[in-house]
Parts: sequence; structure tokens; C-alpha cells
Amino acid sequence: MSAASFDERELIELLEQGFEDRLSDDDRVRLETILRAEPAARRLYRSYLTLHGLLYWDTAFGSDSTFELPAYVPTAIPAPPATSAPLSARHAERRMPRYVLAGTLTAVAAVLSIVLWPGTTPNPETLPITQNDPGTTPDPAVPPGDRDPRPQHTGPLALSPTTPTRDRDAIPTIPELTPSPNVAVTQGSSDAVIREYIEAQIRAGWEASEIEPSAAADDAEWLRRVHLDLIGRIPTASEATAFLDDRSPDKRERVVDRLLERPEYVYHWSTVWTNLLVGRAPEREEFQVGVAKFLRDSFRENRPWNEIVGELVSAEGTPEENGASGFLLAHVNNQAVPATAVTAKVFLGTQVSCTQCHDHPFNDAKQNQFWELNTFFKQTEVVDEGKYDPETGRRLREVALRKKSDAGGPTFYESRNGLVRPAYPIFAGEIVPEGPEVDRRKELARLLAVGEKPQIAEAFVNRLWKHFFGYGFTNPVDDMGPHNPATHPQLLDRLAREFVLSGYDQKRLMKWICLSEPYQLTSRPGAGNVADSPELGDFPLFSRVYVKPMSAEQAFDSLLVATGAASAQAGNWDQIERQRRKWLQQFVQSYGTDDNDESTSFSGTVPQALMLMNGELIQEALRYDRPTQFQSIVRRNVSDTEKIRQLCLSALSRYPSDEELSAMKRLLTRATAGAGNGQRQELTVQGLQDIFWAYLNSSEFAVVH
Amino acid sequence: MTDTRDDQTVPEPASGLVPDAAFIKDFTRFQRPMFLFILSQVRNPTDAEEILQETNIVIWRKFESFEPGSNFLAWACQIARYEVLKHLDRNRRDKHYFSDELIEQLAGESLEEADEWELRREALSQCLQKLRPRDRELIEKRYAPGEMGKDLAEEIGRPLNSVYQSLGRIRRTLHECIQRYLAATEAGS
Repeated sequence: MSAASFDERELIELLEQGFEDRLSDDDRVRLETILRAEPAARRLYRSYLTLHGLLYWDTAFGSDSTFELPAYVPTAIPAPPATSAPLSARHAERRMPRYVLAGTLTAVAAVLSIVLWPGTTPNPETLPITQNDPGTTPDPAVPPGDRDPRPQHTGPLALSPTTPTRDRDAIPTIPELTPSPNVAVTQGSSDAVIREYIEAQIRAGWEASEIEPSAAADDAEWLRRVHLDLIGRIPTASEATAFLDDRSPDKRERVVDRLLERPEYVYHWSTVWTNLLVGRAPEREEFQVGVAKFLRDSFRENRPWNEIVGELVSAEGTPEENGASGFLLAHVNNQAVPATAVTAKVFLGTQVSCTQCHDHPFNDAKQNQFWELNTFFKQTEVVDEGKYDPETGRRLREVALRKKSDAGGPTFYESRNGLVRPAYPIFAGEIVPEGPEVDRRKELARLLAVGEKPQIAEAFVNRLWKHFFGYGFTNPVDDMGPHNPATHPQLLDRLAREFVLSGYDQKRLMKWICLSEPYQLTSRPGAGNVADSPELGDFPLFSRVYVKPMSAEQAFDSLLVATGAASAQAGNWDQIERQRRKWLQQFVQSYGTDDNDESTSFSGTVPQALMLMNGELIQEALRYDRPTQFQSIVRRNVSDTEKIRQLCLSALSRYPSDEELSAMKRLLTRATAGAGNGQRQELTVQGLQDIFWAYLNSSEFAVVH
Repeated sequence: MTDTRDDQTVPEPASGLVPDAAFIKDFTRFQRPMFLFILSQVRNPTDAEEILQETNIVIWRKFESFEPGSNFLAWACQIARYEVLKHLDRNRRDKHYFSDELIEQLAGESLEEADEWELRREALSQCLQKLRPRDRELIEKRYAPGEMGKDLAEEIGRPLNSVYQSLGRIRRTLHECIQRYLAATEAGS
């Protein structure tokens, strides 16, 4: 590179000017001259421009977002390219993307966009950064010190080096409530007391920040949300109708109780945790299957979380013998560095993964902790216990997790100042004795749950809170620590303690959350809480339930519900599971890094929209010649208006608004205008197909709100 | 109502009228490379994105002319190339593009480096982690959707010029880091 005869600095400076749109005509001519003269200049040009392009393309980047979905870009309904495909309605093309009637669909899109709200925002974990909302003027009644102290307001960006992350000082001060939550709770409180505590703490945050919470969510919004959050799919049309018609005051509580006992609860949560623990990458399938099975058994019995964690970190055997072993089998490569990182992140909520690398801003103590945790995996080995298949004579690979017979010894690592240092198996202040008879992983399983408020409890509560509200008490949820203070530290503390006292009862924790006041709020911001926008980098105040993108699994399972395919294929879970797996793999990309990272590309982008538009699932959903949900609605002996209402209910779990409904009716009238009697029916079906298609492809469908 | 016989069938590929899964997968996977290919010619990400959208529509219309098993990216980039030309034609009066000859040269050479892009992306994600937090913050802000350096300066209340300088410094740092990463990877393999 240094051998180049052109001036690298000049070239880069010109490119820099171009990036910021301040390249003059003369500069451009100069740039062209340089580029034409030298292949090396063009190489540098491409290399530097690629950086610019990648930054632009992957704004939601970084390993912080590991295991989380990338930013959700709110897409309105993908407007089908109006220019494409002739408008002839040959029946053979009914299965084609709905380019036909493109105009209609764009119009439907316009109608539907009414129901989208500004809260549909990127995934908090990956959202690049704060943006200042110039529309918010500080309330003159608030003393200056209490105003939002985000650096943007106060002139030059003056983040001190000791403030590694933005906005840390913007935490609203929440007045201490009596009784002080830090007073040791020795006996678990009742559900009602805990719910009241949640409400009081969250309210205190609203009051301190002088905001008004959003209005309560109506039944339809709440029902859809709680279904997606608890069992990973939207309610069926009949579940929705039954709930909407129910007039009893305790109906929400009964729904939560019922959902917690559904088989889909087990299925949903085992999927959520398998993705966190093993990831979605197809090459780890046997481990996923094992872990998922273990989790299904555990969640079905509602086993205490500490026991589940303990089994996962101490498991031995093949995934077939003991599904829990799949977790570590997937990560013990590379001196168990990934295993250490994933354990810390998922169970302890701390991101130590990068502390292994030398020039990370974290301190030596944290680096040391990472390697101390790592020593617990030192006695672990992966053994291939494959057997010969007696029929084919072929050897079948079968890996198992086993304990080595040696003592393990310390892990040596290079500290940041270049010294080689040993780390010993220490956790929660306890050092595990050295010896071949000691099983370090079993010791770790025990130590993880030692004390009144073990870290695994706090990390779990934080993660669950985020699952339901869209943001955790810390964001990201797996980067807890003094550098990243919690938004509601007392509430987090209390919930973690109560969770421990409940015997790590996951279902109870979920019930506390799902029936608490904040969870009953709508996701739409109201006039009084525009300031509560964590998607812009503020601390979440939970004055509304933030909109979350659906996971790929939730989208798949919800499509099955909307299409009626689930009931049509009842009892054939294997087939559905295979189809689901196949479908999901389209979205997964693994990085092959030290931490076995991966991401999914399921993020509401144009390709996804196109994929949905053409996907087999949607095409199936729209069939009129099969027992689909669509067919059953269209064949009903009711008015077209009622059919539209039912289609909306099936897809979005709510009835259309009057405005929406009359717009849809107009579209339908237009679609059938001037047709004779015979053709009319067919055109009506097509019109309804288009309407249902639009509902299924709306942004509203693809989010949990 | 439940006809199990019928339910066994996963939808049949309708006589080649719907792109198959492999096609959709390639299509999705190569969005970023196609974007970078287009960018190498027009320099401006917003333009590149626009042209990419137009290219996507054409790809979608012409999917049948794609031979399964052949090089998707090469095929898609041919279409993209044509769409770039159309875009330039439409914006003839706009003088901030390079000459046609240079663009053609850049396009050809760019595709030769396509294999490297994924590696560069990986490198970038690592290099970003190594930035000082406030630098990372600034760069993330700059590339938030719809942002430009000049909006950013206003937003964070810093003089425009100092923001430009900071952005330039950070991008240089990232670029050097990526180059080192690539060099190390090459040496390692």
C-alpha cells in the first residue's frame, strides 16, 4: 500500500468529503483523475467506500446484538411493484405474488397504515443511538436540573471517559418507597402485594419524570399481546371472539392462567431458550434438539429455574441420553471460551465475552472473572462415542460430554499488560478445592444459586421483563453491571428476591408481570408520554408497552393460526416442525466467531417482505380450494362486511375500525364493478383474498404490540 | 372439514411461476453484496439503495431466466449494472457521477473483490467493538437512518467542521483496523 505513487491521504480526504456530501465539482474531477491513473487507487477507493457502505447498510451492528434480532425497520405493507406483470387475471396466476390488482393493494396499504403507530421502532438492543426529538420543549415548570440531561441538550458532546455508555446520568430518580425494598425479604409476598409493588415503583418513575402513562390497552390488543408473549402465537379467531364477548371482571387473569397451562407455552419457551442457549444455526441441530427436549420437559413441569440452569451447566452424556448436554456440546470448542461467554451472558446477564481480548476497555478484574468462570469447564471433554451400525457397518458419530479424570488446574491467560496470569475456579467468593474427585461443573451448578439474590435470578427477571415489555431494566439485558445501571433498581432487586423466594417459579413471575398495571397499557404513546421513547435512547419508563418485532418463530406460528393450517394438520407436529425449521433456516446466518455468534436476518426488510409476499405459507393461507381459515370465512353465509370483519379478526385479532371497514368495502365494490353474476362471485373471492393478503402483510401483523 | 389426504402436500411449485426457496434464499443473501456492487459505481448509499430496489423488482420479474445452480450474484449484478446505467441516464444533468468509462472499470473490478466483502463485514463488526465508546456512539449516530454529518452536528451541538473531522478520523481508524484484520486473515490461511 505504501508503494502507491498517488497520495493516499488526498484520496481519502476526497472520499471523506464525498461521504458527507461536500465534494465540489473540481474535487470530483480530481478524484476521477486519481482513480483512472492507478489500479491501487481504485483498490483503496473500493475498500474505503465499502466501509462507508457497510456502515450504512448495517446500522444495527455489533456483537452487542448477539442472539437478538437485528433492528426492526418498520415497513408499511410492501407495495407491490406497480410496474410489474400484466394486469390480466389469468386464473393460473392466482398463486403468483399479488402483482395483480397492485393498485388495490397499495390503496389497502394506505388504509392500513392508519393503524400503525410511531412506536413501531427498531429493536432496542441494536438501535444505534439517541436521537434528540426537537419537538419536545422542556417544561418550564421543571427546574433545570430535573430536565432531561441528555448531552445533546447541553451543548457539546462531553461524555467523560468514565461514562462508557450514553445517557447514564439520565436515569430518573425514583423516590425510595417504604418499606425500603432493600430490607431483606425473608418470606415470599403474595401475588397481590408484588403486583402492587410493581405498580408503585413504575408509577414513581412516571411521577419523577412528570409523564402520564398511555391509556389502557383494549381487550383485543392485550389478548393478542399476551398470547404472543406467553405462547408465541396470535389467538385464533374463536379465542378472540370468546374473550371479547366475555364480560366477567377477572377474564384477563383467567386467560393468563389458561395460557400458562397450554402446550404451546412449553413449546414457545423452549424455543426462546434454545435459541439463546444453542442458537438457530442448522449445523447445531442435534444439540438444539437435545436442549429443546430437555427444556420442554422442564417447562412442562415448571421446574425451578436454578435447577434448569444447574443441569445445563453440569450435564453429561450425549444429547440423546441427556438433552441438557447439548448446551455445552455446542460451545465447548476453543478452550470453552464460547461456553464461558454464553454462560455469563445468558445466565448471569454479563457480557464478559470481550474481556478475553487484550485491548478491551474493561478492567483487569473483569477479565480475571471471565477466566475464573472458564476454569469451571476445564475438566470437560467432548468424546466421540459413536458406534458401528450393525446393519450398514458404518460408523455413526455421537458426541458426549464427559468429565476428565484429572484435577483441571488453573487457566492461564495473558493479562492486558502482557503478563501471563493464572485463574482459579472461584465463583460467588468461594474457591473450589483442587482435585480429580471434584467435579467443577457440579460445583458451579451449586454456586450459581448461592445467596439471597443470586445473579442468575436477577438476570432472569431482567430478561423476562424485556420479553414482555420490549425493554429490560438494563439495555441490553445481558450487559448488567455497575457501568450500566438499571432503570428501576429497587424493583429489579425486589422481583429477583421474590423470584428466589417463590422457588424460582417462572410461571408465577410471568403472572406478576402479565397482570401488573403497566402491562395492561396500550403500546400507543399518548399526549402525556411522548418523552418515554427508549427507542430514541432514553431510559424506558414503561408508561406504555413498547412494540416488539415478532421473532421468526412467532411469525411462523402465527401464520399457521391465521391460515387455519394448525388445526388442519392437528396431530402432525413433526411435519409442522420440519416445515418450520426449513422456513427459519432462510433467516439464519452464523458468524463463526469465538463466541459462536449468529444473527437472523428476519427483520422486516424488503427481502423479508418479498419473501412473505411470495412465501408458501401466505399462498396457502389464501387458498379457496382447501380447508383454510380463509375458505371457511368466505363460505360463511354472511354479508361481505362481516367477512371482512372476520378476516381482520383472524389476522390481527381485532375488528376493523369503521374507517378501515368502509375503505375495504369500497375496494371490494370496485373490484367487482360491472361484472356479471357468474364472474361476480369469483371477483369477490379475489377481492377478499387481496384484503386478507394485505392484513397478513401489514406491519401490524408482524409486531407484538 | 379436515381432509388429511390433502394436507400432506406442501404447496407444489406452481409450474415455475413462483421462485423456489433456493432462489429466495440467494436473493436475500446477496442483498448486501448487490448493494456494495452498485455503491462502487455511484458512491452515494442513498442512490445505491434506490437502484437496488429497482434491480430487485427486475430480478423478481425475471427470476425464470435465472439458471438454478449458476452464479446468482453474477446474474443479479448484470441486472444491477443495467439499472445503474438507467439511473445515470435519468440523471444526466446531475454532475456528481463519474464518467461512464470509469464507472464501467470500477464495476468490473468491484465484482472481482466480492468474495472479500463478507470478511470485511466481519472485520468491521469486530473493529467497531474496539472503538472508544464515544467514537462508536458518534459513528452509530452518523449512520442512523436518514442522518448525515451536517444533521448530526446540529443535533449534538458541535461545530460542523469538528464533526467532519471526528467522523473522518473514526472512519480512518476503522479502515486501518479492517485492513489489518484482512492481512492477518490472509496470513493465517
